[in-house]
Amino acid sequence: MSPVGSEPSEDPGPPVVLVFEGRRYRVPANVSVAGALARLGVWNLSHSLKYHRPQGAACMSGTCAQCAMRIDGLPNRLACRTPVHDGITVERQNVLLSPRLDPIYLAYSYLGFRFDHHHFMARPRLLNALFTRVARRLSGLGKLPESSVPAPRVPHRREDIDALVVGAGPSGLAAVRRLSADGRSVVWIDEWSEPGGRLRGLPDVVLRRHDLPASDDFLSATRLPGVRWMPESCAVGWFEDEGFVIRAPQEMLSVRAKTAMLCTGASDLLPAFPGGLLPGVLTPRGTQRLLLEEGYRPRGMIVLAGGGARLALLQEALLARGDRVLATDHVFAARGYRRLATAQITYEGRRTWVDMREGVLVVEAGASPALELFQQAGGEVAYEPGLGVFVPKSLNIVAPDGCAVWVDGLTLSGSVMRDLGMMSSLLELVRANPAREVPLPTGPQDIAMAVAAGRPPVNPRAIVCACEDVTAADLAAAIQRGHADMELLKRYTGLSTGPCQGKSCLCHGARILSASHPDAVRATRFRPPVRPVSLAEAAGEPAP
Amino acid sequence: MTARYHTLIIGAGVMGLGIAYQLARRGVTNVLVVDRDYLTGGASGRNGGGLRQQWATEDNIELMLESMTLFREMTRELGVNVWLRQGGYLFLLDRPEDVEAFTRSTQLQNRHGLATRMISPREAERIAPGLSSEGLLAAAWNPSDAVVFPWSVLWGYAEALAAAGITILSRTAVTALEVKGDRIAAVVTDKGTFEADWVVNAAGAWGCEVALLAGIHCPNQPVRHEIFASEPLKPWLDPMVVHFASGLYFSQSMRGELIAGITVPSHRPGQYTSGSSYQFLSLIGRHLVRFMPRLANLRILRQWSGPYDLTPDNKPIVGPVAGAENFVQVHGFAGHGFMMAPVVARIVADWLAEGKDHPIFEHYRLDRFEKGGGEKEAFIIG
Ligand SMILES: Cc1cc2nc3c(=O)[nH]c(=O)nc-3n(C[C@H](O)[C@H](O)[C@H](O)COP(=O)(O)OP(=O)(O)OC[C@H]3O[C@@H](n4cnc5c(N)ncnc54)[C@H](O)[C@@H]3O)c2cc1C
Ligand code: FES
Repeated sequence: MSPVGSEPSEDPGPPVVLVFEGRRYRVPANVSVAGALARLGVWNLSHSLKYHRPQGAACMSGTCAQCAMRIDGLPNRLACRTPVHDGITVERQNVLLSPRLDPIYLAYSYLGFRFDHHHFMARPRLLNALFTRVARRLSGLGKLPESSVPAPRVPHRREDIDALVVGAGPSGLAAVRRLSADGRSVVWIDEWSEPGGRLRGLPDVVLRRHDLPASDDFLSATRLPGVRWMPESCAVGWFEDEGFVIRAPQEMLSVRAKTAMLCTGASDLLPAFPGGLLPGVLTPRGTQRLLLEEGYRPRGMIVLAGGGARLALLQEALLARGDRVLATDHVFAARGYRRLATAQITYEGRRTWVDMREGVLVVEAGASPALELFQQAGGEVAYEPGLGVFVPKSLNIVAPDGCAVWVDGLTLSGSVMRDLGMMSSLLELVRANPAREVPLPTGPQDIAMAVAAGRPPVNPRAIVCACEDVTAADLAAAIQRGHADMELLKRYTGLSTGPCQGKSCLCHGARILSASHPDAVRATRFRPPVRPVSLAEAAGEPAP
Repeated sequence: MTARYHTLIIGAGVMGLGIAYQLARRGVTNVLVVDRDYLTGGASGRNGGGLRQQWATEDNIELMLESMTLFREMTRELGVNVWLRQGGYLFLLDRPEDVEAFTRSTQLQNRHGLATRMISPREAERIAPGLSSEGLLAAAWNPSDAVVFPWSVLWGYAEALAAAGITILSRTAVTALEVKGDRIAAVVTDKGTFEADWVVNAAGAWGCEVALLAGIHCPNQPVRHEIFASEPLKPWLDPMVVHFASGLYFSQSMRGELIAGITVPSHRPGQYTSGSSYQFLSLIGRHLVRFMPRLANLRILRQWSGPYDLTPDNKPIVGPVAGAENFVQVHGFAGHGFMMAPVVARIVADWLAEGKDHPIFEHYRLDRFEKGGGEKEAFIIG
């Protein structure tokens, strides 16, 4: 993976063989499975749980869970987080008959078939018995391997440390610099192999032009006095008995820190308008990674829809390398069967359908602050209606084990985040608070832009929760049935209970609920683990 | 606000809702259910949904036989899919004393018409594909035990109550009970005061707390019990599998997730919190990898916890109590209150609506603890 700002290396080394559904392909050696498949023109990576909708990589950062495939015989691996290797085997999951002629998806897309699983065929008895059987057969995503695949137990170790900084984006960088300057010793972790966070992949020239930290700044911070840089190390949760538990490449590590700074950024929300989940539609972060970090260049047009600072930076970076880019304020709809084919956008003031068969559509649907660790460690989270996301309520709190969770009290170098207007860090959200102007949607109902601006998805057919195939209409129906409570809405519809655990959808649900019941949106509990943990990883016995 | 109800039920868990539903079926709809949390907020929204008839006492076997019948009718009756699946319960036994106890209880269950069998570890491997029976002495197997999706049962009851005109007041806490003479005269909540002929304490693991509001001391205590859900897999596991010695249990839900829990020995009674421990993850990781090596790469999506409600003899407290004759207790169901709810609700409603007696009112009296308690139910998981 390329470090911040550097161009993807020209020479990726000799290609490797990737076996996709029985056919062999040569692909570059330094990309993810999702990146390799995009190069082969394969965008339909998976199929949704209920309606078998084709799905593709969207966030490219391991949060949306839309790219889950069977890789090397193991189910539900994230194609965007799995690097290719020679001989890797990759298959799609959850299809009936064939991806093209899956009867469930045919019924969904051509007949408009939707079903309310609570009441569908609950009576009479015989039909119900049949339906329950079929539903069970069709349930689940991936198949368990026939024989056990070796998974060595990961050792578990404990350590008391001075300061922990989680996240190596710009705010993590600022935190580390500050702590190091104060003479503290800092463990600095990030789940990616390179620092840079949200800026990773953007070329240095663009970053410098905007007075943003570039690759050198991040790399030199990893070598500051007192700093221990731990790449590919993910804090999977905060636990009352172990504090922060970090999954490092060779071990599970529990740390007790005197100071912990959570600079965990935000997870991209998936666009909630009809067609917004088709393969070929990417989030801004996903685009940055697939197109810039992994160096994929689509043959067709790159349409950037929704505006805002993130897309502006992306546009600069893409234009700098000579891509065909079209920026538009609004996307009204996207269509396609197994991949995005056309999109309706505003172009020169008029609504126009554009051919997207060889292109990608990038939609700014906003992002949801990654508050899981913060809340688990004792921080209070509240819904901020002006932004349409959850924000930290309590700051500078001291967690029960005496580990201080400092969220404020950081001096950021410059006002990095505010200038960018990105919803990318806790700090930006806390400081900028509801100051963000929210433009009223002017066009028809399903403007993705409005979604990005913290407004609820309004088209009833829009899928709001991709993992569980929950539509805006499902949420509205549940609210009408009296489940006008965040906790109930979640459980009754399934919203946020699937593999992404709400990272890319919970805010959409909150926005819909808050539109009719402003006081009913309470923060729900973000249960650990923050990233899925395997049994073998969890099974390590701590040294006494 | 003052209103008078036939029955006021404290707690909208499966027990409280079940009783209200059974009352409605008997034509008693002047009923109010109050709960301080949201629907599914208590143990009924946090459990594993296991329904078993493999018990060691006659009472529990008989109750569960009827409860299974009620569960089998539930989807049709309520018009809501509760996803009942009779995949059986498989108990893995690796201590000689467990084998002995299960052999005895199997005979008892057979006398009640259940097809429970003691089977060899080899046969257990055939029932649970991928099971490693190393170290096991035997297993107990009843193919007609089941799992259900707990939330759906609550939605079903709630919809039936709404249709009958019975209100569930959520996010309404009972803060005091006014006792006059030997009766509860009024139930005070943070949303108003209510009067009722009968007051039912179905507050689950908080039942002892609620009883204390009327000066009644109950010996049950909440204990934290943790559980997780994994990534969704295609159906591969039919039974609920239980390792009796460790309290490990796991089954596959209708969504394809593996749902698994285990007893964490250091979670003590009386220290209930709903937090998450890492100790649980590593303990259950070790046990599951031992019994199902194919699951080593399986990933956990979410862990959570809920209260078990333990009494000294692992049996519940059901019925009116001395000193408050219209105050009916229905709590103390350890880790099996979900499966018991339909039948217990039926019995309690029969009594409230029609004055019908049942032996459990005698067996599960509160004052048995003063007399030293009865026979202990040994088959508690967790
Ligand atoms: C992790 C776990 C796994 C389990 N697995 C199984 C299983 O597989 N099978 C099985 O049968 N059982 C299982 N159980 C046990 C089962 O969940 C419970 O026994 C059952 O749900 C109890 O139902 P209830 O209605 O009595 O209590 P609850 O569902 O807890 O309901 C009690 C309600 O009372 C309310 N309340 C409390 N105090 C007040 C007050 N002062 N005012 C108003 N309301 C109040 C609470 O908010 C709560 O909603 C499990 C439990 C746990 C925790
Ligand atoms: S694209 Fe892989 S998780 Fe989102």
